[in-house]
Amino acid sequence: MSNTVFTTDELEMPCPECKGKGEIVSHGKSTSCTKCEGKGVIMTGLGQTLLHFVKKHL
Amino acid sequence: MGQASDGNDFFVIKAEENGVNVIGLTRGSDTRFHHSEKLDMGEVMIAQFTEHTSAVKVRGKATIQTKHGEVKSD
Ligand SMILES: [Zn+2]
Repeated sequence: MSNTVFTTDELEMPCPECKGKGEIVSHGKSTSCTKCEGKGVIMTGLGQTLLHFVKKHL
Repeated sequence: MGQASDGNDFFVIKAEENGVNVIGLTRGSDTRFHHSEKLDMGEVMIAQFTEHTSAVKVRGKATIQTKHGEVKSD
């Protein structure tokens, strides 16, 4: 793992339910996406590893 | 890491193109997407259902092997 560069899509991906918007619009009403809890993205294992590492050492 | 629900019951996902997404859904009444993994062509993921994950969604072209047989996604 020398000179490893992460791109954002290796850390998270757009939520397929809300297409990354974090909200679902139906009948002109917008509600927070329950699948991603309104974040619009789902973290990967690498993303979670990095987040846990940063939280631990912050 | 949670315990597998059924001993050594695992499944295999092999990506047949770049950018295949494997998405884990939470166990329980509300099924959230709690984990995603991106596989590039030829990459293999071996996974189990655990106390946290009760379903998996595969997006993109992949071969999936389970104890019930093989299935291909597009
Ligand atoms: Zn969403």
